[in-house]
Amino acid sequence: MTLLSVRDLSVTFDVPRRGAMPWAPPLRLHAVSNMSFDLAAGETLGIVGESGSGKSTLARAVIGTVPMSGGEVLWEGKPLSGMSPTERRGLRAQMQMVFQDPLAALNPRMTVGEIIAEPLRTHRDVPRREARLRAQEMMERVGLLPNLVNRYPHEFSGGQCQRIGIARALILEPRLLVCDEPVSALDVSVQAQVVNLLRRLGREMGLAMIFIAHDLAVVRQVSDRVMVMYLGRRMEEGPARAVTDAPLHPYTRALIDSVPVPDPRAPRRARAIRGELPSPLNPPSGCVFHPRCPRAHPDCSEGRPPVLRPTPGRAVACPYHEGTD
Amino acid sequence: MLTRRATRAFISPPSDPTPEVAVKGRSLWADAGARFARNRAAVAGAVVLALLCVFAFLGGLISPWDNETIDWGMLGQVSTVGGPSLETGHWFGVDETGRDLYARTVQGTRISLAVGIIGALVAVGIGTVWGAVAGYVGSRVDNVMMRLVDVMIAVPYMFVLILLMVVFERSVIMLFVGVGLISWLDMARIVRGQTLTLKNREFVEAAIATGVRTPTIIARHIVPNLLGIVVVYATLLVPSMILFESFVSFLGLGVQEPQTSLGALIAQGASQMRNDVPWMLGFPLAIFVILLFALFFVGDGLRDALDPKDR
Repeated sequence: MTLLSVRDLSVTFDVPRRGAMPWAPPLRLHAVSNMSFDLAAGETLGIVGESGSGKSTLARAVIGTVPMSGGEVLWEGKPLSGMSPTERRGLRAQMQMVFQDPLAALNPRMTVGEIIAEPLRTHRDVPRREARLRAQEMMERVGLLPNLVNRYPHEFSGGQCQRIGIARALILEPRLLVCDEPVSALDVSVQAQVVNLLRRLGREMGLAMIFIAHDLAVVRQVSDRVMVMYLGRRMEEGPARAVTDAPLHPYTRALIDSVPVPDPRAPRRARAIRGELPSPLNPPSGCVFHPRCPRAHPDCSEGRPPVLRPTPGRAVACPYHEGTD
Repeated sequence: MLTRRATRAFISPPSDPTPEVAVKGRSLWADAGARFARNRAAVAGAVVLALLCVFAFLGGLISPWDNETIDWGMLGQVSTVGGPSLETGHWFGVDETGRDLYARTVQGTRISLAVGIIGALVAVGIGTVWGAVAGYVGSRVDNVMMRLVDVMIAVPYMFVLILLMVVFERSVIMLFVGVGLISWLDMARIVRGQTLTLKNREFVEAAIATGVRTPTIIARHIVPNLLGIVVVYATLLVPSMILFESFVSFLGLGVQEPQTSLGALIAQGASQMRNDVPWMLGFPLAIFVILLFALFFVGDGLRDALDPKDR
């Protein structure tokens, strides 16, 4: 059953021209353009891409903290834009978010118990005492000692703060959890713990997850499906194993090749991507990846590439993916 | 060599002696309090401030004279017998009309402190809410609210105050109204600026994503994180309000006789400087300077203690 459908979602930001007159039309920054995907209940979708590719903006548009400039987000087939503010608020209890910077996402003036219980106190009429008990239960589930409820966020390590953030996100037992690079700011040894915690809780609670990361290994570990983004556009999508083992799109290949191999004797694969991410203020014409693509054809700069579906459940936005470099 | 059991005991997490009892966390306020207590100048300032408050509110009880009774025996010979003395009961001497300067200084300090504190309270109350709402809601609301503040700042407040004093009666209440009108404007600007940086922090976004209502976000997430800067600015505002009141009184627009304030006393003392009566200027001025120094030290100490960079 489809829980969340995103149709043609675009997010544009207005950027004032530097030094221009105040009434001059602002530049349009296309952070996300015409993204579509579906997410089934209990499924995990991994989103990967370089920094600046619009992953976080996509997540925020879905969760509703960034306004979308086009397209539609459907929750169980109902468009969010058609909902009343009260309905929308109720829906917020169903989708929660885990943030990238664990400490910044916690109010420094509130105790951990208050932070974790806040969604509960917002959406359910729970007395203070009970909310505290529920927060303690939740702390235990995410691997924190429940007697630390009265502590403040600055007294915890990064990994512990992320556990607090996860506890807050899960206390309402939502159906969708959006994780915006939940482990990027953590130590490698702690990353595995937090990823495993998310996987375990996701399975236990039957959560659907959107898992954003720029680390392909992490995404492959947690996701059922993977979507590769570049400059606000979908490059490739498919089952996690298939995409990481047999990438089709040249950009995905380059991403996978750029993952360092932890073996000093292994031969270096020099086929990393050249150049920098182009500015989303002025994206390249046609396929946005063509200036950096190792197998760009002359017609790649003309017109948006068609989305091909070589096998069921697999999508790739490159007509030349079968060729050689 | 470690036995297996010993090894396990060594690596297992330390068992909590009282798992039922929740550990009390150290809040940022508690941390700031500890930092403030380590700052000697600030603590000394706080002690002096407390003593001055005792002086202002209880000092009148021990004086044999009150602030309006004229000591007729002093009239005409103030410069020779009106000086500070323990025998006459005029510990700070008398003013040019023979009234006890100690009682008048106590009463003037009280007025000055009240003006300062009321100014700061108005600033904290109105200024914080105004600035936080303008900054958080943003766009058009922000524009309207802040342009209103700009207009109020642009109006010459002395002019308004003189008008107020002329149209209504010259009274302490009017003085408080005047102080209240101007004190919150800068506070609103400072708070708005701070709110603009706060509202982009991730914990505010988390609250929005959770579905917390806007008034609750302002009250629960914005204002508590502003309070550090608000407290600091309020303590630094008290002396500037006292100076403002002194200026108004110095011009003869402040409180009315027989009530007085430190500013009015200093003005009177200054006008008597040529008559060989240095105590009339000296005592009120000394109290005034001590009061301002104490307030500045406390404000400085609070700023250091609450500095968000020092987290």
